[in-house]
Amino acid sequence: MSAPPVDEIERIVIAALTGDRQAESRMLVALRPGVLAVLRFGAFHRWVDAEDLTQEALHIVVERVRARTIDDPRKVFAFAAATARNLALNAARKVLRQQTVVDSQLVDELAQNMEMEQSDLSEQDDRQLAEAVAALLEELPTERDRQLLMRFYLDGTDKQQLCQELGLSPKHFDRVLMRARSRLRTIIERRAPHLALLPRALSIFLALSTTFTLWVRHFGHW
Amino acid sequence: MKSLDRQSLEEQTRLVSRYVAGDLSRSERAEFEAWLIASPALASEVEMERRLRRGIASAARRGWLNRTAPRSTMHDHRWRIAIAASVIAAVTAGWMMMTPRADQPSVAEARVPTRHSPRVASRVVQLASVRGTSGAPDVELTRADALPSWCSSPRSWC
Repeated sequence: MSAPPVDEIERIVIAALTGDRQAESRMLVALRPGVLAVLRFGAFHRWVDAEDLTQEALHIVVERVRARTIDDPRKVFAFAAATARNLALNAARKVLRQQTVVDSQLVDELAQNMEMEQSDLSEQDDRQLAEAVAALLEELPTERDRQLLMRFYLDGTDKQQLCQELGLSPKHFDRVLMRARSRLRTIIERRAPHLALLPRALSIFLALSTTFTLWVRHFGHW
Repeated sequence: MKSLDRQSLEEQTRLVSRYVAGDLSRSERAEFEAWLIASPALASEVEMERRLRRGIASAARRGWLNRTAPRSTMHDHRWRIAIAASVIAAVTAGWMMMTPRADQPSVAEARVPTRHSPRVASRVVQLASVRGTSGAPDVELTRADALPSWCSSPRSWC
């Protein structure tokens, strides 16, 4: 199952902006992974319940689309991202105020500097992921690529320094990372498909449930 | 947000690792997140970047990554190739200088097949018994007799 391309999503949003309710449902399905990603990987993910806030963000986006105050699909994308970010920031502020941190600037800085990784995987999933990554490193065509990944991700060595030491251009460096992600996706889908497929399945299910809720609220029946 | 073309998406894809590491500026992050909304493929890249980071850290923690004695890098290879080429060039030059050329007399002589004469028992020859003791020569030759018959002038090169 491949994700719809950007231009297709753009067409869906354009249709939703004209008031097409079917397109609106498809828009929710299409936008949900992105909104969820902003909340799960953004600066404030540590303090937020991404699933809850995704529902809330999509709700706000749909209301705005129905109000027809936006006419450009790109503005819808930017609005959805800003909405998700603001919801996350508010949630983070709430948590940090309880910890007596009241300065909003400081809240932002704390959020930026906090550890990025969440312990959202079970021990078994973590082990499978580690196996997949070890297999990926084993399969890499050159020792240079292996060193690049380990030094970049484990040692935190600067990209510029690595490029200089390994004789790579920045574009080549980016290509190595992109190929590694692509290969990891393949390995994970083969060895531990739930690590790759669960977010998609959950994404579709939650988008449909949001559509259902909004439909019933608007028309009073299904 | 820039136009939704493939090139812009590729530009954003290069920012994935910086985004996950929290290294983007506010404006870069806002634009990147708008792209995240527009492109589930980019969201998937972010997810995989996160998995990759976590997986490498986990594998290292479990001692599954061989980090000892990293093998040579590109620069090491270049140095080794340069050193090997220098050694080969030096050996070749030395060999050429030490080995005499074929047109040198010593080589010419050396290349003449040597005939091994049969080994004979050494004997002592008394010269006086062979040549005699008188100072007079055994054979006398005039200058004309000494020249070969086909050489007419003694000054010409024969």
